Amino acid sequence: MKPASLLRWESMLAAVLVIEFVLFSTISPYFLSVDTLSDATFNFTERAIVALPLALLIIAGEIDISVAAIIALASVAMGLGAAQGLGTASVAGIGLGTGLLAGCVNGALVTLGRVPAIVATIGTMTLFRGAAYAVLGDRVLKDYPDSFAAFGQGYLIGPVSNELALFIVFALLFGVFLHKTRWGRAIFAIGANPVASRFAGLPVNRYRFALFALTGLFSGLAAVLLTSRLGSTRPSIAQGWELEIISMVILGGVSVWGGKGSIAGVVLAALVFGLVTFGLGLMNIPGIVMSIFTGLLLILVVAVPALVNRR
Amino acid sequence: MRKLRDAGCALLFISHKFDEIFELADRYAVFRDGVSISAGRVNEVTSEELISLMVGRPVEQLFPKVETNLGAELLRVEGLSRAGEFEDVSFALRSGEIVGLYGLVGAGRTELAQVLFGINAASGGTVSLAADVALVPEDRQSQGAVLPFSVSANMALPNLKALAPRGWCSAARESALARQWIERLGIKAQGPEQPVNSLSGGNQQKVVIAKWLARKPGVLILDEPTKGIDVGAKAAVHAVTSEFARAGGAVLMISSDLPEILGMSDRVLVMRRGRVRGEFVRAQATSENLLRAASDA
Amino acid sequence: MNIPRFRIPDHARRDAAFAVLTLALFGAVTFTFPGFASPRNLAGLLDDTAILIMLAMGQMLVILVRGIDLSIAANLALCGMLAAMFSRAWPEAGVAPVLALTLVVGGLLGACNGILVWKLRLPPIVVTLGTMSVYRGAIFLLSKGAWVNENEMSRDFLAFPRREFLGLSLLAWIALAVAAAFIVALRRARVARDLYAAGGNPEAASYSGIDPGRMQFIAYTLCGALAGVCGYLWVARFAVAYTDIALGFELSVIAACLIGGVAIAGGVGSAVGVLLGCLFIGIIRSSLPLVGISAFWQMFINGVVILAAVLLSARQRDFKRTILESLA
Repeated sequence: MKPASLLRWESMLAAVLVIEFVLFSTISPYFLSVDTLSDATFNFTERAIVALPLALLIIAGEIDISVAAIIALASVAMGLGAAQGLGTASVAGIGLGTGLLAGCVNGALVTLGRVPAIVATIGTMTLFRGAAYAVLGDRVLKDYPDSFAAFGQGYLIGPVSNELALFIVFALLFGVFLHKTRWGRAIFAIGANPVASRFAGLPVNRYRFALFALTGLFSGLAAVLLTSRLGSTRPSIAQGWELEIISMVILGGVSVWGGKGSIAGVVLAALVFGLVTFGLGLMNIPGIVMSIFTGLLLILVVAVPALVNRR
Repeated sequence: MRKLRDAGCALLFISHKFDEIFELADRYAVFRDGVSISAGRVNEVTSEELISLMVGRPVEQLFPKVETNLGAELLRVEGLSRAGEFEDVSFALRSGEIVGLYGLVGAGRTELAQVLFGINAASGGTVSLAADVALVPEDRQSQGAVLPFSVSANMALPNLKALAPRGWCSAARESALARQWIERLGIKAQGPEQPVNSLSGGNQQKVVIAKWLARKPGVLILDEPTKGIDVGAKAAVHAVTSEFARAGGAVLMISSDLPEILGMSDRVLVMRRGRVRGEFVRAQATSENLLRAASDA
Repeated sequence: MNIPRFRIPDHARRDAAFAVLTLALFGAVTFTFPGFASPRNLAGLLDDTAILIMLAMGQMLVILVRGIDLSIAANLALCGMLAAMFSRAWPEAGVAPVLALTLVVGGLLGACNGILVWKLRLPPIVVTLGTMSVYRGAIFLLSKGAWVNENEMSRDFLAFPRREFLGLSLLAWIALAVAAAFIVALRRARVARDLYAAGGNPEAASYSGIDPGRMQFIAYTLCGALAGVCGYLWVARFAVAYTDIALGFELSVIAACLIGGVAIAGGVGSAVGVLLGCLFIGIIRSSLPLVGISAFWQMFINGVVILAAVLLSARQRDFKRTILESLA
């Protein structure tokens, strides 16, 4: 049932991925080593894990630009918990719980408060990131228990990191959920025409709330992974990530208008994106210049189909 | 419109409604499938001729209402109100009945339908149901169908739980359901995968009706079901509605088209400004009665 | 023949209520800290809020036509860096060419947003999220990460916004003039009526011969031009230019618009309300140190303000989810 346009998009992404591999391995002989590639995955796994539920949210016709701020808030909450002497499991629990709660706030604003998602999440983005700054100021939290590092720094089997393994598992689960179950079908319908979906008996607001909560939960998970990998928390953690995560989703072929997209596309886009940023990093290009690339990419990805359709 | 004409304006007035056309227009032009078919002076043509020009063939009975035996009560409404929209509405629907709901714009009929279906909540009164309610909404393009989706995806939407009881969707089952109804209603589509936005208005409406009939509801509410669709499809919709009633369902048909209401209904309820102002059984219902009840001070 | 004319919506009641609220806030702060109402302090308050006022006026235009501009602060920063580097390279040139340069470049940057939203019908949130990063990154490319410091800027360059007339800085006067111009123009100018129509009901507007997309283009260009000039003013006022100036400021600007009564769905909003919104935020910001709250709380407070404003507005109107959609 996938439209031909989407299959073409995914094939194009796959082609880009191959080109990247070829390009980078000619630039650097070390690129194709298993260790290098394994390191490269850290560039996208945390962002990609948030891109999965965000893709569902955008397909349902909503958006959440507060995801990076939720990561920051969750990280601060975890740091405070760790500073109180809590163990790894509790700290991780705090991270997930904070993310879930923040997602519920977004969901409540949109469904109960009837605030459009874009403004609601601009507001919560400011609120959550602001809370992180207000609590932490210019301090850094570092007292995490030793075993906490396993999330972000540990390896499951050989070169496959825990983060990568988690991403693979969730990508599969989300893929099946979205494309094969009736709830996934409902999500597509709600994005394509929320009014008709309501008239068809779907509990549209319940779905919206759930998707916001899910996005928050996974932002919390990303916070656990990122914080555990860095070993520290600053209020500026994950700054600018909302742009990159949204870019991953849109690059993956998810339509900004809702109702169309695929998890496979998002996974491919995450790989493309992660590899490029890793490669640019190898070439010592600073992050802020990379964000020019991300910004241009986001605009191109929505502009090109629009240009083509104009004819 | 007459004022504008007298002031020197030229008016191009697009309509399906014959009473308006014959009352207002000086000349007419008939289009079908994007091609201009015929044109002429209104006072030189009859409505039957216009109909056959529009459809391309003579059309048999437009209102195949069959007499049925009325059965058990499926829906009872007592003192139903929704603040600002309608108040103190009471009536009942019995199995086998087609009840017409007539009224002018702003009478509150669509709002009543939405409360009966469950999309909006009532502020007072009770609704007692002995069966499921289905609603074919007024605006088929934004409320009735998800236009970019295929026929089979649209049909599946209200039936997801039945088609995927444990969550797992099956394209085969959905296709089969769509094919079944394409045949039953005579939907002109190349197949279940055809996107609904490429179907004609009449066929789109058939899809909307089919998706609800597939749920096997007891009560079917139709809100302006034949608005803006060609005469052939109109006849098909009426046939399906009659068949549904004959098979034991109850129908509440909202319409602003007097011939349709008069032709299809066993009883007609007339609403004006949020209240039920009159009830007429088939034998008593005439255009004058209905119009008077709908607009009386 | 009498075709009904489109009338700009009446904001008087809301503005009056908000003026009362702002005065009440001012009163509360002054009551607790009497020195707050001193002429010196008020002049300082206006000086601090001047740039916010001008940016908010521009942002209001964009939101009126159902758009949003997240790149406004990055635009400001890029033009500010340009202005600083220009002054460093040609210190004798004076202020006029700098003003012209920032106006034009800012306008061009805004026009980029406008073209994408108009001609390609791209959603404003995605476009400005992208251009925000591009413009910010461009600052780094331009300056190679180096700062431009006070001693590298010409005397005229720095002195311009600080000149005082009747106790207020020139910067404050410019902001007041811009606000006044907007207040008058939005009520009288023909293009203002078209902007409101394009935002309030784009379909009806296009039937009346107004191109909603073109209105968006105009709004984005004007907003960008204002942001550009504010870039110079910011850099001159703070006497430094670097990549991260005004980082996140777009959120304060949006907060000021929202609390000032600009509806996110478009078509509703008044310059008076936006001015009051800026003053409201400005009063809160300057009273923070008096109450002993660290400046790190500013962002959080902005968030509270945004959410409070949109929740209150949402109860009044039925929203269309317009910012993620274009005018298509």
